[in-house]
Amino acid sequence: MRTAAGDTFTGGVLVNAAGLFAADVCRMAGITEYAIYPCRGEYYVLDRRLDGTVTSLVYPAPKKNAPGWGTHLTPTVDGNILIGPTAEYLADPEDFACTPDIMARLRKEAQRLLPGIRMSDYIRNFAGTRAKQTPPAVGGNKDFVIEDRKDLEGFVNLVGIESPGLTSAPAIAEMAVGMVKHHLALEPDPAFNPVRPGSLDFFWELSPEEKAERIAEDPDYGEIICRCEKITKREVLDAIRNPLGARTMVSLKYRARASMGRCQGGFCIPRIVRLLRDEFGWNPEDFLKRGADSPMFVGNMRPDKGGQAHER
Amino acid sequence: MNAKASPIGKIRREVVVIGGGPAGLAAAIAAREAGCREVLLIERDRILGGILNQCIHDGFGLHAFKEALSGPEYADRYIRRLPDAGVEVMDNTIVLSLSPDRVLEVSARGALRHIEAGAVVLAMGCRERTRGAISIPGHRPAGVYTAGAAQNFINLENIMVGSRVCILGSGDIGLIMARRMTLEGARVEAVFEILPYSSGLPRNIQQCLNDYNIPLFLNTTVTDIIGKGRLEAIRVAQVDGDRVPIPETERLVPCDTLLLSVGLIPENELTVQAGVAMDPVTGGALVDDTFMTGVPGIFACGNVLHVHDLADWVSVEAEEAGRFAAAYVQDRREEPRRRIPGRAGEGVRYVLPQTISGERDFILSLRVTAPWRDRTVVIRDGGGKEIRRRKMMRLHPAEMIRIPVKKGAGADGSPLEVSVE
Repeated sequence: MRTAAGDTFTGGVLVNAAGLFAADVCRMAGITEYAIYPCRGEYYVLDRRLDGTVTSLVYPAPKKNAPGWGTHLTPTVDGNILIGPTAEYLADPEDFACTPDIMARLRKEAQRLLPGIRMSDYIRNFAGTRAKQTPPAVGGNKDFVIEDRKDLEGFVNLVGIESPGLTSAPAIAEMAVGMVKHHLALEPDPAFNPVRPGSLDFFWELSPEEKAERIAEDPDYGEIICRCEKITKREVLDAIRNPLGARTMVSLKYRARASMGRCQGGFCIPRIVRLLRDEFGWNPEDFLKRGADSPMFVGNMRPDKGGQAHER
Repeated sequence: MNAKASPIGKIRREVVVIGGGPAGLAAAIAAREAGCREVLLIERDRILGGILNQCIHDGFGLHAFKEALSGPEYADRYIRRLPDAGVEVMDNTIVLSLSPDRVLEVSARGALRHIEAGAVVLAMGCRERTRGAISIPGHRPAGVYTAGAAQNFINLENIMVGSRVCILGSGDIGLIMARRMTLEGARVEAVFEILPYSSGLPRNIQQCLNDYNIPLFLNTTVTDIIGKGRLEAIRVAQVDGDRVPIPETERLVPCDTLLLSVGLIPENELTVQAGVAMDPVTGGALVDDTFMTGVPGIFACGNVLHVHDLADWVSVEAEEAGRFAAAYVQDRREEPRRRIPGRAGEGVRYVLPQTISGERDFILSLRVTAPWRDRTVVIRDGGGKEIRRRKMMRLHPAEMIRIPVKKGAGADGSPLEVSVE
């Protein structure tokens, strides 16, 4: 297997879990029977003010042969309600734009399912793309492909993992491991440590006594970085210092929940920037929003004298 | 609990002021000077002054001190009075919760405390409206900032956010930032405003846009944000009378930065948590003519109560609120016998306070719904009797109007109505 970066890898088993690009990887291996039709879904995220107004998923009756389940309300464990997703076939699998007509439709349908949503309750939009195996003319859904190719020794193929792919992922992983075992002898790694540093619960969810205990343990628990979501400095540092090492604003949002709230980082992103600067000594050019091509800043305003400019 | 755990500290203070910006500073000093022995000011940042610290432009203090100060200088006028006034300050400290009986759960580095307050003054200020709250379509690249966040990076962190800039919304922070980015070498393409008039102060239109030849396009909004990594361009279009974009007017504007100055929202999460009744128009608490909310002993002032045009008026209002909070704990505060509602009539967006007693002089604050010339603001009682009128050459939604009203207004107990005639 050769990568675009010029690396070559050899091994006994290849697991194709390339999502929207799984059919492309199949073709590289000479497997031609699959095609992926990217199908974008847009979402709205609602303010936690509405936490508790719906306690389960709320679906409209599904339409026949519709590519998705229709706009529905999903209360999340974090207290935000999601509205969506829509379904729209696209040529570009990586076009995650949100579009005005669909946004307007989502607001209208959400108002029908949950009257009383205010404009200020919409805090964020996002879009993602499903890896569908059914073309627009056919619609509907096809089952996941989870196969150990008989015609290609060691090719474990996962194709068309669309909704509910995320929910199914742990079970699919177990099936894939079973297939890998047919080709390789797998042994547990005694050095593998399944325990991650940090806490599984959020600071803000704790009782006052537990909060006091945490703060006594580490004063960084007492300092709130993200005021809307009440995420502490310690929780942000845990995300930065964990083995996966969140470095970008978006990865810190996903890992630590900082900047996820109603101000969308207006107050905490400057604080997070300071934190990363203290941790890694970064220059403005080093800060990324999401990936390598998403620089947040163009540079220092004046030559950096090293100190913290904001201290009086 | 393990051996290291510290118990939750419990303390009591007469007056607790939440927020160390212009409102909190003035309220705390006023409460102390009104004779309260224990006044505690809580600030979540490392330094007092709030948003004033990043407002390095001048124009603060023209009313309060009769001179033009920068934001930090204006804040300093109050901060340096704190030690003599004897105000206790907890900085780097955040209020996690506030109960209706005025118990605050407060977190700081190394300490969680419960504070019982005789009176609470809410002075948390406001936050900026975001892209999400106005539903701008498009990609989600780097380079889209609220104007205040960009101001923070530039003025406090020595970080330049972009080089080719568009600004949506003609709020004052956006206008100030148009000038600031220009002075720092960025090219500011334009300011776009969806309304048929600017939502910033006229002096800022002149001094921040006209003086630098930065065009302001009214009746225009952003319809698309383009760029997968960093912002590459936006689309803008003119809007019709219902603020709906007109497709044939859409055009592409290349830029790497979009600043949003599309409104401020009073930050009232603690207020709502304490059970305070809110005004849907101001986004702040409903208050009486002592700035007390519907929950006894909880007062509100400054931008958390209603968004002000000038910091000077925030200070004036907060001093009043601080004095009334002090009077409340000292039991010298008279409970108003009558509660007379104030109402926004024709041409008026809101009035504040929302209820009055008729037993004291007060300042009526209001904003109008549209710009006009040569109109009169009239206050009438329920019977239509005129209480006060003020002729104004120029009225503008961006400017707060403050009208002193003598005690005795609404003596018959009927609601007061304010309108533009």
